[in-house]
Amino acid sequence: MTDRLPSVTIVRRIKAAPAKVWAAITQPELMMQWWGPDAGPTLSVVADVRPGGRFSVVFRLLNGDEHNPTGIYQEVVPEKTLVFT
Amino acid sequence: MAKYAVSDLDRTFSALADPTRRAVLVRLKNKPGLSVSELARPFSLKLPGMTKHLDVLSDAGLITRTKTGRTVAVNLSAAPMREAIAWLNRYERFWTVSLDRLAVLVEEDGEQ
Repeated sequence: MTDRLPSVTIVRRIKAAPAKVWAAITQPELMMQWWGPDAGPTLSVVADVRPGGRFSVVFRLLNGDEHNPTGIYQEVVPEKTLVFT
Repeated sequence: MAKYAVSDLDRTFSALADPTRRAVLVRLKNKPGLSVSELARPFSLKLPGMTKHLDVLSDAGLITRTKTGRTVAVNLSAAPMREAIAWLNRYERFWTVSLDRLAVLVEEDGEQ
């Protein structure tokens, strides 16, 4: 049923050079600065940015709950496309 | 992120993934208490076909069926749908808040 999951589409224009945005979404130390749904801290980021590579983020919400989303990079086109599960 | 029981959400989303079942829900919203044959008619479905769809909707908690004599009245039960919407909203909020910070981060000294 995975091909029938609902989808959420978010379109965002960011006023910065593609290289800068790419760095922010692929370099762990930069990812830590923006990842997360509230002001709670991001504790660790692993990002093996290549097709088949793994990512794993641990972040803590303000309410103390910790979450660890993980996934696999599927498509990696520097400064253009980053697809991950 | 979300704290909902995933299996319940799976059931809700797969129940909603079928156009006939979504149309049934819309009809029930406008006309609560329709019978199974009344529901089947506009889809030119036979009763067993409609009953299968209703079984899926019922397993997902999206409808309730009440038998009166030989007629089964079908009604909408919206709670699982609200949960599904809340789940989607949380997902959207997660990315909206994250992307807000991402934008601030890369735009702050980012004169082009």
